[in-house]
Amino acid sequence: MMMINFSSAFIFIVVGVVFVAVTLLIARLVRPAEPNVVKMSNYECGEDPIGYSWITFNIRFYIIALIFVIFDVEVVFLFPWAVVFKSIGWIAFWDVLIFIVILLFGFAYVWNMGDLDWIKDLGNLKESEDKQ
Amino acid sequence: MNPYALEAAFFYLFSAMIIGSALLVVLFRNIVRSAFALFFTLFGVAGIYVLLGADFVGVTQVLIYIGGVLILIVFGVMLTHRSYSVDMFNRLGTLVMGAVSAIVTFTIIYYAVRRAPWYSVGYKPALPTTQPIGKELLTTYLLPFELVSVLLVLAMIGAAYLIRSEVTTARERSPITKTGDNDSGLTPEVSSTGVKERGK
Repeated sequence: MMMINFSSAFIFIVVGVVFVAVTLLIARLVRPAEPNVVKMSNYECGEDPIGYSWITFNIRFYIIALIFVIFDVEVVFLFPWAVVFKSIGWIAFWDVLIFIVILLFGFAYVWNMGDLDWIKDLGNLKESEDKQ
Repeated sequence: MNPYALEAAFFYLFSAMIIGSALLVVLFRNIVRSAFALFFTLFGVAGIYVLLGADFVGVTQVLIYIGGVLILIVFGVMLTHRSYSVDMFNRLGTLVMGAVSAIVTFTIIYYAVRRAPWYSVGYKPALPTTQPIGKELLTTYLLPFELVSVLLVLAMIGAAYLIRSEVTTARERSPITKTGDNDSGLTPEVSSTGVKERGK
């Protein structure tokens, strides 16, 4: 039974991949190939692109990504809990409450230390907008 | 259709996917393409887990390795200064050493597989494992379960602490955002002086 459920997920993935591949293939067969400079340039919401699009990201994205991975792991632990919650009852609720409260201490820490703040950038942005 | 044959077919499909994309991870010279090929490796491993009847581990693989760790790797690539344009290749000396270590590793694994006593339990349909895992986590292994959250908090605080010092040094190094600020973050007033200094 379990394998049947997973195989339906597998079929879903295969159909998704084949759908995109076939669409692109048909487009390739039908479209005329006339590349020019404007056509080959990057699309940036209708604006003329300036510079190379592969810029170095701000390192603060990395903190956010790391915190995301931590809470990703937390969610994985919540899945088996959610499955057995009804059969175990209220004691399961308190168990997981302790689990989450401990994690919230970490969240409070990074919040309090300003790792989640973007106001630093916002201040610079506002000033440079005023100048223009 | 014979369930053995079907399972074997899927096993070879996922194995080919893992080995092929792992080769691409090593062979691509563009590191971003390597990261993208890693997606297929990790996904194939998830498929193998499911074939082994470990559905919870398989879904965890997709959720954490593909959804989290791979994103982290791509972020790391994009954060690194100009790493995308660096041509990745190895010198001949490392090629020889790599071949030697690969052969040694293969030999060890080969003999371990050949010498291990394999017990066959016959064909049994795999059952969902999430419910037993949840039951064990909340009864027998309750203390380790709660300690996991302590471990996660420690990892989060440690990572945030290490990166915060990186952010501060990076800001001090770069002339554009240099404001001589402290760890607690810039207030708009402080950053406005930074902009004025830049304008001079």
